[in-house]
Amino acid sequence: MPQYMLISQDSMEIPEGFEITPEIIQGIIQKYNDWADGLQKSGHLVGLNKLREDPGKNIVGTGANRVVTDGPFAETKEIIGGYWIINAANYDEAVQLASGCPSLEFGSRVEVREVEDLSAFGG
Amino acid sequence: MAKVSDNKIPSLVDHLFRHQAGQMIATLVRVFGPRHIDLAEEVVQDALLKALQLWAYKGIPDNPSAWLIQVAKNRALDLLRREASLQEKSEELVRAFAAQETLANQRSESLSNNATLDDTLALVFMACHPSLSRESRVALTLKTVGGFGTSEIARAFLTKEPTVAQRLVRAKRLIRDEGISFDLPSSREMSARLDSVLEVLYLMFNEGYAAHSGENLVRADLCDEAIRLGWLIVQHPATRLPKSNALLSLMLFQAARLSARVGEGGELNLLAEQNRSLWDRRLIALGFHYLERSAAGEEFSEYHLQAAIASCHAAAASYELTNWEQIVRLYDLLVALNPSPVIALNRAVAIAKHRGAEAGLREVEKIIAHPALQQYYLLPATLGELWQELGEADKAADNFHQALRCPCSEPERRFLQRKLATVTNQS
Repeated sequence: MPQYMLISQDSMEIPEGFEITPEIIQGIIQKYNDWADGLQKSGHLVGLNKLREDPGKNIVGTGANRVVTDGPFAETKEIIGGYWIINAANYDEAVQLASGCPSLEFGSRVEVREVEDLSAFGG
Repeated sequence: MAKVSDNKIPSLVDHLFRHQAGQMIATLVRVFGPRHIDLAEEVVQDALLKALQLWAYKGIPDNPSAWLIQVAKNRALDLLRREASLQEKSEELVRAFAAQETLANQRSESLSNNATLDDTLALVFMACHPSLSRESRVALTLKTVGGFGTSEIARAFLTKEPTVAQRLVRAKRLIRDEGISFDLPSSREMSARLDSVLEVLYLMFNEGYAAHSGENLVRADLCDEAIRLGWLIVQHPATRLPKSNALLSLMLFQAARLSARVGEGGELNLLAEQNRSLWDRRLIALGFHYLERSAAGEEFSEYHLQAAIASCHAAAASYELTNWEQIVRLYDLLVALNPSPVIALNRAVAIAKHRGAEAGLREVEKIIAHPALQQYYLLPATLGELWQELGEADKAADNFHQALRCPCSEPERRFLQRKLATVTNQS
C-alpha cells in the first residue's frame, strides 16, 4: 500500500491576547494523541517524528561557496513542526485521514505527499 | 454506606497539567521566595509548553510528573544563573525538585507529611493572606495553586480578563511590598489564617455551584478545585481543624447533587425535583466521613451547621421524607451564629416545609425589606413558590416576574420562566 507523509506546517505566531493555559495545553495534547491513536488502531500509522522548535540550519553551495545560515523559514514564520507517515490507498484516503489532524484546528497547514515506492531498487 | 478511602478525592476530570503547575509553582516559590512568583510562573509555563511540543507527537510519558519536574528544574537553573540575586539558591532548588521527583516516581497518593504538601499549603496561605482583598485571594489561589489561566478565572467569575490580570498584579505587588512570608502559619495564628483560606474555598465552590450548567464547564471546575484544596487542607495535621473537615464535608454533599441539578435541557432542577438516583453516592459517603471527623474537638463553625443541613438532604430518600424539623433547628442555630438575610431566607423555606407555607411567608416578610436582598432573585422566587402553594396564582406570578428582573444565570432564568408558566396556566 502506498505511504504518505503528512507534514504539519505550523505557524509560529500565537494570536494576540491568546493565553495558553495548562488546561488548554492538556487538551491539545489529548487531541493529537487521540488522533494518532485512532490511526494506530486502524493500522494506518507507520511512524511519526517531531522536529525541534528551533530555527534549524540552512546550507547552500559547496566548498568555498558553501553558506550556512540559521532557519530556512525565518521569513515565512512557518516551521515544519513534525510529520506522520501513514498507509493509505490513495491521495483521497490520505487527505481524508489527514483532515483529522489537530494542527488544522490551530491554523497550521498540513501538506500531504506520497512517498515514492523505492522497493524495486531493493530499498 | 460505601467504604471511604481517605487517600484520594474523586475528581470528575483529570486536571494533570493544572495540578502539576500548582505543585511546581509552590516548590519554586519556596526556593525563589514570594517576591519572585512571576519567575516561578515563567519557569512552569516553559515546562508545560515543552511538554506540549513533545507529547502532542510522542504521547504522554509513563510518568508525566517526573518529566515536567525535570524540565522545570533545568529551566529554573538556567534562570538562577542569569538572576544574580538568586544565584545562591541553586542547591536548594536541586534539593526541592529532587523531593518532588521522588514523590512523582512513587506516584504516591497519600501526600501527608511531605515537603510537597507543605509547599502547596504554604502557597495557599500566601495567596489567601488576609491583607489581600477577597477577590484577589480567590484569583491568586486559582492562578498559582490551581493552575487556572487568567482567561479561565475571568470566565468563571464573569469578569473581564484585564480586571483579573490587574487583580493578580496588585496581589503580587502587595505580597512583595508587605514581605508576606511563605510558611504555614504558627499554631497561634492558624485558626484565624485558616478562616481566610476556608472563606476563599467556600466562595470558589459557591461560585461554581450556583452557576453549574453543562454550557459552563469552567465553573464546575471551580467546585472541583475547591474540593481538591479542601482535601489537601485536611491531609495536613496543622490545618486539619474541625472547621476544615466541616467545609470539605459541606462541599462534598453539595457536589454530590451537581449532576442532578441541571436537567437534560440545561434547566435548573431544585432539590424538590431532583432525581435522587443521580446523586453521587461516593461523594455523599465522603461527605458523611468528613462530617464525622468535623465533630472532633470543641470547635463549632458555620460550616458545621451548613454541612449538617446538607447531610439531612443527602440522607433523605425523597424530598417529602426530608427531616425538616431537624433542618429548621439547624437553621435556628445558623441564624444565631450568622444573622445573614440569605440564611434567614433559607430558614424561611425550611419553616414553610415544616409548618406550612403561611408560616414560611411570615418568616420571609421579616426580611423582605433587607437591602441586601433587593436584587436577589431567590427572594421573590421563594415568595412566588409560597403563594403558589397557597393557591394565589396572581401573587405568585407577580413575584416570578419580579425574580426575572433580578440578575441570574441562564439556567436560573429558564427555571423562573418555567415556574411562571405553571402559575399563568393556573389562573
